[in-house]
Amino acid sequence: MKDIVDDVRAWTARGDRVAIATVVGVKRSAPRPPGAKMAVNDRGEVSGAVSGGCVEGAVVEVAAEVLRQGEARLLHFGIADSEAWDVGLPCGGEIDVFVEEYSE
Amino acid sequence: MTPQGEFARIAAEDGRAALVSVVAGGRSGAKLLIQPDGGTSGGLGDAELDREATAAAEELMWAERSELREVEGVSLFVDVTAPAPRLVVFGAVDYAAALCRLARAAGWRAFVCDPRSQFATRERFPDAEEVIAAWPDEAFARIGAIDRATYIAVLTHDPKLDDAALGLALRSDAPYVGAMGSRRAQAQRRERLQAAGLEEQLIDSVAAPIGLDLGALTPEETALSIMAEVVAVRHGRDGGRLSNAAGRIHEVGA
Repeated sequence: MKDIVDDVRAWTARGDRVAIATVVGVKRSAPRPPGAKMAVNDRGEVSGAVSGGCVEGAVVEVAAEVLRQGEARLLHFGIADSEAWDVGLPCGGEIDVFVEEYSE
Repeated sequence: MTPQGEFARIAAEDGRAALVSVVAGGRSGAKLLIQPDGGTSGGLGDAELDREATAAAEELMWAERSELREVEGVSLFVDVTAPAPRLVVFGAVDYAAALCRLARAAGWRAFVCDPRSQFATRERFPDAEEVIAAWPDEAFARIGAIDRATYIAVLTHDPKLDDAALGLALRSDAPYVGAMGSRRAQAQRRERLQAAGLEEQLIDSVAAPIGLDLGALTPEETALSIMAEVVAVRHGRDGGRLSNAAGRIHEVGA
């Protein structure tokens, strides 16, 4: 939380809406531990990370949906599958990411 | 302020708290904030869930680990924020300066305490959060609550000072108290602490000789061996080589 909190509070203070994505589950080897966070505001600005850059793009899209629809989402990312064109983690781990709107 | 806003404020102020959120199987997004003094705000919509969440929060906010817990079919994420751990070093010696450098590089806050004011100076310890020229009792009072996130290294090489620091350190909540000196010095220290009436169990808990077995020679190498031991204790490890180990490299939740 500490690495994104200054951005989150500054964004909120100027009236932005903000979504926070949190790594809540990790299986096998994953780049960031549970609790790692990424914040996205409604201008599309990003702070922090939930992986080593593998799934951030997908999470930003879901964050925008969460802000539009007002409903929290629990996402699962698994091992990269190039055949299926899925977003995946090349390290071979799996992570669960909870995305919700931040309310002060 | 919402529990989430409160949690953000505490994180920004480098405080300690746990924020429990329902992420699946219940009222998704419901939140309960738990603080170290037992204060709470918010709720998960069920008294039993709140109780379980509070118990998990009290454990994890001190283990300093965020983790998913399953309670009655509900997935609760316990999110923890905690200040940087503290390393209190008694003895304003060369080893202490090297230890402060490494502690700071590792993201810890180091405090140096020594009543000998010609040694306990800011200039000698630029990497310390604070340098306190005082006897251990006053130094402890100035540092504030010696809690479960405070680690203590006693390096003074002066029995009077060492014993005074150890007597207080061992009766505190600090999970680690290490003392520098040879095995012979440690044997004499043990006798003195026994004579001073300290319980055997407390005396046994002193990490002495201090540090991991790195064969350290210089103050810098010795500081590395102490810092490595402190980090290992913080994460509940013994400090062996990973190439000789088979378990998990990091402690993470389920």
